[in-house]
Amino acid sequence: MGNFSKNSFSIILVLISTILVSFAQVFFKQVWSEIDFISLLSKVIFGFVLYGAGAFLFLLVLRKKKVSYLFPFMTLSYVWVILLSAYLFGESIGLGKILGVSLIFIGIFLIYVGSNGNDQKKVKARTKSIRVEAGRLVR
Amino acid sequence: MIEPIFSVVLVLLGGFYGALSPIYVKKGLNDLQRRKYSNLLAGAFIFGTGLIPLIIALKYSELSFLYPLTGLSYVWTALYSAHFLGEKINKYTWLGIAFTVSGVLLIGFSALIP
Repeated sequence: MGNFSKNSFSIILVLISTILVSFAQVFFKQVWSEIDFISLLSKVIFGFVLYGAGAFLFLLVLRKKKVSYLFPFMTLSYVWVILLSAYLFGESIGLGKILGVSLIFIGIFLIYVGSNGNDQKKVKARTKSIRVEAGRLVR
Repeated sequence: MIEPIFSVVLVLLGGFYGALSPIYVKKGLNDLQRRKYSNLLAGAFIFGTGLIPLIIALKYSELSFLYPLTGLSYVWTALYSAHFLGEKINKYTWLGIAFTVSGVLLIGFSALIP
């Protein structure tokens, strides 16, 4: 894979992660409208599973990318929560929310375009270990 | 009057503390190959306990007032990652962080206006 497609693949994983986390938050909110215990418990458990899956995906990407690059992407979960709660709970989307979401999108765009987020330390360590390995093979 | 100030200070301190979590987790992920798990555990511990100050503060103030302040933790995380992990952050990323954080703050504060 080229550098660009590798970078977009990481970002797609992070996007899925934020979507999973926002679905988890919506489930946690819905919990309080359940009357019987079984469906309440199943929603709580499902929420935690979604949350855990989202966190796991984020950790997969965090291994290769910088914290300062990846962490701002998590603010996208605010956007998904706004959209989901408008769709599911009929919550209104006012001017403040629209402006806030636009600012988040501009910020994410700047971060994505301005850097590929590769962890230089990790890259250096890898090239070093490849060099050592190559030296061993030559000998 | 003292109670909102107390809760804001508490949430800010909690933010400084909680923003350390991704730093330790990142260190811990780098340690995985060496089978060293202390940093990862520290990160998970901070992640878990980082919400306690907010929960205490909620006793004194409303969530819609305090929640926007948690958005500031993205700034602390960026500063920590530059300082503790030595990450080089270019001006586009700084600008992007400024935009995303103002977006989160705006969404949070718009909940205050009916």
